[in-house]
Amino acid sequence: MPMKRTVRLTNLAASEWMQLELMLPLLDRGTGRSWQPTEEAGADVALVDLDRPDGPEALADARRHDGCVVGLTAACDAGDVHCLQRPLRAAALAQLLRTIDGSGATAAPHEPTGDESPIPGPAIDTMGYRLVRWPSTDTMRAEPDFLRVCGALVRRPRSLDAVSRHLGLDVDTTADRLARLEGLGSVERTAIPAPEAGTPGEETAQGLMARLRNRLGVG
Amino acid sequence: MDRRRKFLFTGPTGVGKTTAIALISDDEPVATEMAASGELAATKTTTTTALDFGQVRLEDGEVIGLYGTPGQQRFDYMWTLLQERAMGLVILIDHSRPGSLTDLQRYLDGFGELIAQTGAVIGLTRADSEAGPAIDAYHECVAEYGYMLPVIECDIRRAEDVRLLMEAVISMAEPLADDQGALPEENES
Repeated sequence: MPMKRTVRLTNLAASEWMQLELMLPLLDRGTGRSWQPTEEAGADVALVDLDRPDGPEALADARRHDGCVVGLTAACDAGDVHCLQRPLRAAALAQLLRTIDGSGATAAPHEPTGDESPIPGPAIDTMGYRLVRWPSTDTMRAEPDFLRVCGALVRRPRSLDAVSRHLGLDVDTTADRLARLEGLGSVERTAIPAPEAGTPGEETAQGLMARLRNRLGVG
Repeated sequence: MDRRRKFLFTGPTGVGKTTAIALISDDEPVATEMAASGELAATKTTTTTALDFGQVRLEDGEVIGLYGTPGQQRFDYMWTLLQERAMGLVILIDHSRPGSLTDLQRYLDGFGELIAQTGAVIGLTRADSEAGPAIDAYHECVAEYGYMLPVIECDIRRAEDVRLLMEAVISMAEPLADDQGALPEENES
């Protein structure tokens, strides 16, 4: 069972908030930890958007209250804190969290988080998405990926990971599409049975449909 | 009956099934046409009474059929035959036509087995007409059948719009391709 770590999402924009909320639980397998997003101070890691006007205040607050501070920025350097460069990438985030975790810098200065306790509740693969309604024609025209994401969810809910593998899109892109579809009210989060993810049927759609898609020049 | 894998285009007479197939078929579609009967004969000199047939050849040589179903209700019996080995359905509805929701219900009833298996996309032609119901009414009609299908406003004369319909129907068939055995097998003969 992965050990629990908390990541405080501070002054981030709503879309990045959602992306990180989706990404973090997926990093368990790559980091050996359970990274849980939180809004509470005293987290093991705090993510601060340095590009926003309130970046300096959020940074100072995180330094006071959280174990390790990561600056999210479009620049290559975040000064004296760890840097996570925009655009958000799951691989980069996982690498950074592994580095931080390995350095032992994750203990919050105030209250300990009980970081060696196992995660309570269901496994993370039980969180998924279901289709609520198809987007409008204009939206589908403008965002061809939306059609494929909705098509993947039309018969049953799937996890982010499963949708990503089904479509052959990277997790970041898939998380972005799902977050935007969620914002449009087309998909919503739902619990799915854990065995649902990672079954043989979740592999990328190859073969006939890919050939047909290629032949018709769609997607 | 041809046993190759196929996509179906259905809808009322004159909605544009033949046009849609012609826009994406590799070959000039074969249309079996006969004189219309009844009231339709007054407005249309010929009508598709058997079926339209086009095809798309894939790079590996497999041929996917594109079938337009008969427009007139007296040939509805052919719908059942055509559904065999179908991978998806495009339902074209003329939004400007009185009773367009009734038209939709007719195809949801007639192709229920296929829709439950593969899904379908609803293409609304003449969608800018103010004569038709609100777009939401089509979604509600579909929901009453327990389906969740995309409703796409389109100009069926535009290849780009036909491709969008195909993109939608392929997106619904794709998960079936993932779930092994859920799609009809390739014809061995």
